[in-house]
Amino acid sequence: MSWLLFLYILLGLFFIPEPARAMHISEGILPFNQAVIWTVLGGGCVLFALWKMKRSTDGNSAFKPFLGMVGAGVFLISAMPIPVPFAGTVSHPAGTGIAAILVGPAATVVLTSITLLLHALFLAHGGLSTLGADIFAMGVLGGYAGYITYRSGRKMGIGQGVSAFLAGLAGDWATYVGTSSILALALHGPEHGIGELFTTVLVAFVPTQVPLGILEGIVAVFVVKLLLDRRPEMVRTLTRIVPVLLVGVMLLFSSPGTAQAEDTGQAWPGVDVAVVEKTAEEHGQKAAEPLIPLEGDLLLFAFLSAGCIGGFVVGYQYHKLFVVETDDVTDNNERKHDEDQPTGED
Amino acid sequence: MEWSELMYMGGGDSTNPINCVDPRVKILFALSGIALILLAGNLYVPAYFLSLAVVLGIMADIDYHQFLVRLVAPFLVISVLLVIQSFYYGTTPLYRFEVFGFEPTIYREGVRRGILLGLRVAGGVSLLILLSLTSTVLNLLSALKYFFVPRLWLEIMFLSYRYLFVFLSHVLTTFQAQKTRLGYRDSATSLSSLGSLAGHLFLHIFDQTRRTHEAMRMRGYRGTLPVPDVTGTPDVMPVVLGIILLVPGGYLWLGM
Repeated sequence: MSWLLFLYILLGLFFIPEPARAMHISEGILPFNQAVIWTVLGGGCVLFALWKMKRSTDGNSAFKPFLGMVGAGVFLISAMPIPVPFAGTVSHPAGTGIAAILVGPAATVVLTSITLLLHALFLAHGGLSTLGADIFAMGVLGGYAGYITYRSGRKMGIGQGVSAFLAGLAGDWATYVGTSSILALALHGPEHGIGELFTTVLVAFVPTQVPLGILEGIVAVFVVKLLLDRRPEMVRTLTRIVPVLLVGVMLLFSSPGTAQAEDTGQAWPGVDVAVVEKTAEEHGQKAAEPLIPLEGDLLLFAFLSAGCIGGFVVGYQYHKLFVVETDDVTDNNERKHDEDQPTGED
Repeated sequence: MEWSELMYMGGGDSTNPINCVDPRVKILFALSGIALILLAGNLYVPAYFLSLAVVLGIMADIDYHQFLVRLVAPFLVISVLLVIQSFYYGTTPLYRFEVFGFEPTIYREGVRRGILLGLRVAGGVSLLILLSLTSTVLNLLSALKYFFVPRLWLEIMFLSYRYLFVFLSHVLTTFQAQKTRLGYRDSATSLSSLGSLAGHLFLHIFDQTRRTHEAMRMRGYRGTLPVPDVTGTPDVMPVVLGIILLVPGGYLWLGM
């Protein structure tokens, strides 16, 4: 496939010791209609996040200065050049994983929008028409991926360091998966589908983004460990997860099938047929028989049942997952354990 | 040029007529130009706006070094776009070759589309650079307030911009100190040093927040920061000139 040659050329480009500016989608890349849609979506997410934050800012006059300074910090971290081993270049961390741990995902979306606008104005990275798309990829996907990973890790009893590493990693990689999807949607042609271009762009990002994600995770560990030692009260969450946005993400990434249906002029056969099966057949992979041979309404019923069971479990554990602070519980348990230990004075 | 030297926005010279144009007019002009560039299916519209941005930049006495350095990153993007589009878009083969058993093909339509996308990036980024180098951040914030951007967002943006340079100075000082002590001699020490740098930055942020909040409270801050307003209607002449400059772009979009 020509993607292999393309990969060689791109690796060559990336081995030139210039900063890899792949984090932002440059001005002018998106078609007009997609730019409008992403602007509305990204802007909507920012407005929603501002609404969520209003309660915190109204009750605490120190919160706005704190957020403003964290925004400046996120901007500086995302502008810092980090040498990427094996790739021979430098790149820039997204910083959304760290921000999500410190101030929560909603505030991260707002801070990301500010950071991206400052990047566009100061450094000409990104643009005005691509601001919405960049906010969605970096702020929403990166921020929520980092936050969910961190919280899930802590709930499962994983240590602060490992949870922070996974959060930094997830935030960085989620940003680039999002960016790859947006670019594939914008740049695909009628002969090569969105799935193929998405794979190519993602593979092209691999030489820098795989090590960079790991590096960002390591930097996140350093940051969280240092803050825990000196300012443990900084590492707390201030907002809640918004499951609606996750549903919105799933709906959004089912939209490539719509673009393909417009090209063929037929009714949309679905993502599985239009994208997945087509790409698999082009690569000589045939569909295997399902393990559980269900079809038609019985299959739909099985999906519905699985969704209901999963939703029930999440809802039943909602308080433990999203409300109770694991750190408070852990600290209380540790304090109680220390008090129970016999001292040498007895 | 170091990345820290790019933390510069123009618009400070109040004697230059382009700097004095109402920021609302400048934002609308930039957005309209970018919209025409995105809508264009030909090379002439982005090329026109690229040339226009350069001419207006010369008239605004912009530091050409700042202008060119900001174009380096988009240039890299343009190169990558050209490669992607050449191989992945089109039906008319321009050149086919064999590499390790594979036969990648460069398509004529893909090359054209790559050049179009590249010019679109160059044109759009040039308008963005023109906007940033002829406007102060405060003016832009005032204009955004006029366009109903939420106040909370504007206040956080203002504080971020205000303290960006305070923390930048702290980061650069610490970075130089680490470099002097061989903190970046290899990948492992670089990583450790950068992690410490980022951690201390956030510690500094926390301490600065407390000090700043106390200072603001003493000066009457009760949770709301004043954001300056842009009042009145803008001067007619810049609006008319802006429309005149947009018309050729519109004609090129419609006529070609």
